[in-house]
Amino acid sequence: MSKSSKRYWLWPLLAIVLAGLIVAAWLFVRQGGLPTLIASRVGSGSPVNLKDPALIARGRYLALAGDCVACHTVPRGDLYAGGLEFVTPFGTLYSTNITPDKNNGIGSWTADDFWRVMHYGVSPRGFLYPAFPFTNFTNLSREDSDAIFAYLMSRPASSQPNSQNRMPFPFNMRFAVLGWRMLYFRPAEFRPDPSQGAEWNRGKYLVDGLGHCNMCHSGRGPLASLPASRYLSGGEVVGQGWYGPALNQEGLAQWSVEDIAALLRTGVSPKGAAYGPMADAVFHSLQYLTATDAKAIATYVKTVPTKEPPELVSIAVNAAETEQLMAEGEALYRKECADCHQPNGEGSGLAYPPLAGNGSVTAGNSMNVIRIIQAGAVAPSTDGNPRPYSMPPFGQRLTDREIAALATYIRRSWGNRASAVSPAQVAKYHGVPL
Amino acid sequence: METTQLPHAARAASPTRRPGRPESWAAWLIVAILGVFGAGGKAVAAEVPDTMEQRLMGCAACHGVHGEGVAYNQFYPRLSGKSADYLYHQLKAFKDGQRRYTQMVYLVRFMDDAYMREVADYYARQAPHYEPPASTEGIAPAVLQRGQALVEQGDAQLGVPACAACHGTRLEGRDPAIPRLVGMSRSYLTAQLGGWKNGARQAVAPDCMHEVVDRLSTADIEAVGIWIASRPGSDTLQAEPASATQKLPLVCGSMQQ
Repeated sequence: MSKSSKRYWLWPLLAIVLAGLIVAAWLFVRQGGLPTLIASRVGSGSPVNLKDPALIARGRYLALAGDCVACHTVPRGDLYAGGLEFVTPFGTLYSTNITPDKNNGIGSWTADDFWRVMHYGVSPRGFLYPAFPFTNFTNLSREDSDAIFAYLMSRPASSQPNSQNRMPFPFNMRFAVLGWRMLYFRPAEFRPDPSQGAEWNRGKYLVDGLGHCNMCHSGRGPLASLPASRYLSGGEVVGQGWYGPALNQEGLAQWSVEDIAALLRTGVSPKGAAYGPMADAVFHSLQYLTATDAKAIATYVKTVPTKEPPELVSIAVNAAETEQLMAEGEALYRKECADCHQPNGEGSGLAYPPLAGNGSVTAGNSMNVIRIIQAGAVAPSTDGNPRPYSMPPFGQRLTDREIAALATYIRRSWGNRASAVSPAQVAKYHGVPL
Repeated sequence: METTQLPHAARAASPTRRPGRPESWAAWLIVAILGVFGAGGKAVAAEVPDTMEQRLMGCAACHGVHGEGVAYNQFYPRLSGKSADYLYHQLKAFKDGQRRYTQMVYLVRFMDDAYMREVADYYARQAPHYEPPASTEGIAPAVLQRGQALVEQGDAQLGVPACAACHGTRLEGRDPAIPRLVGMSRSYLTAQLGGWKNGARQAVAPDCMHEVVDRLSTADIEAVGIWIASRPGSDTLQAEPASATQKLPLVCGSMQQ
């Protein structure tokens, strides 16, 4: 072979490498560009007085709306000192200390550093894992980011050290997060939709931003990404064994704006009650929303277009078996459930939610029904509902088959048309942490 | 009294999730007709009693409506008539992660302090119920003697005070924060003592139960459980009052809360 023919083969290779580099550079710019590598490239906001009591008060409200405390505080631990464990399919993560401690907290950060965390998902320590909802917080305004920072810096410092994440290769390399970001993250700035009213826009700002509702209520794509095609279409809550029902036109068709706002602020409503991770969200965060903000959220989520439903995780139950489960379930329902939820599944006011037409009951994924029969539930104590009624657990007394029969009956009666539940599906939730 | 009117007709008229399907139209038509008839006849009202009994139906599944326990499983502790502070401290310990029984943690996690107080007071007000004394048939006399000695005298060599020194001469508990032991099942007692020993169960420092149980062997724990479970309760047995002059042998954090 001559030298010239070798060179002839080199050109396409070079072209491919060059194209790859161009695509990578383009994706790098799209995930935030230089500010994600170089802190000084992050634009400075207008100077703010972090000691301003009004700013701090606003920041406190926003920190509550964002539910910072739920992830950044352990029981009996210092407020906002982190340390909560998150078991994900990619490894185990720990939330960090966000008190003003200089060594273990964020005491040496500037408002620009904090903005870089919220808007770009990059802290002075490097790229953050997307378990921290920067894909939502990127929508925050600079003013709101500064207010939250002012509030956190006004809190007592805690020297509680951070725990080491336990992530296996390759997820232990922070740089691997850059790859994820290039595929799935775009810094965003919330732009109000001029065709909608102020209330709707405020609702969208809260839902997509601080509320980070899609972390639990959207279907996930590859590598735990949150594709737009499954936005608020319902999804499994990562690592928790609960299902976040769809928050969209179809899922909330039977809910009024007032019903939704009541659930957010009190934990109960005529259409359903908060339990599992939602009880957590109401208890630590949503109950503190102003009536105006709760109504704004409700107004917005009722208009979210219905996207593709998440793929079903069900074990097929044939027609004969379904019929048998229905018969067993009906007898059990009359004995165990009808006193509170009524023979027709309508529930009893705010004390016992309806099962007929309840989106959490009829979701494609049956895990909520199974789990709540197994473990029972208590709505969270809130100002609006300080002494909640409760539902007993049945897992200690009923067999998997009995629970499957009950779940099947509840999912397929009074106009509900969801799939049957097999005893094998019930068995999957033994020992799943609550 | 909280009264709820169930809006049959209103619900029947609300839109279905998939109005396009003929069978769903037919079903809703039938429901609507029934609903109209129902509303025309008599309004159906479901009254949910505004009582703690009703609010705590979730607890009743394992502890009984009045904290009297349940027949199908003796493990679940009887709550009726136990000291209010003790019960409140336990709810708080489940909420804060000091006690780790998953089911309890799940149910109390989002209760606030005021409600936990009210729940504790409710069970404390109920008349005590006792597990019938467990038979000691087939238990080696040496084991029974060891159990009785630890409960009534303690073991000075090990530095273990008598259970009765704090929990009352008849193990009836001491207000406001020391729980009754008589009438609890052996399985529950040994599980708790084991928990104190291995740290699964903890109390506010100084954690005197851990200090005491740490000095006991597992054989001692078995013996104590067997002896206490064999003690009879009685309806007239009341927790000793807080004013009892007897000095307690240990300083316990949960007594000072």
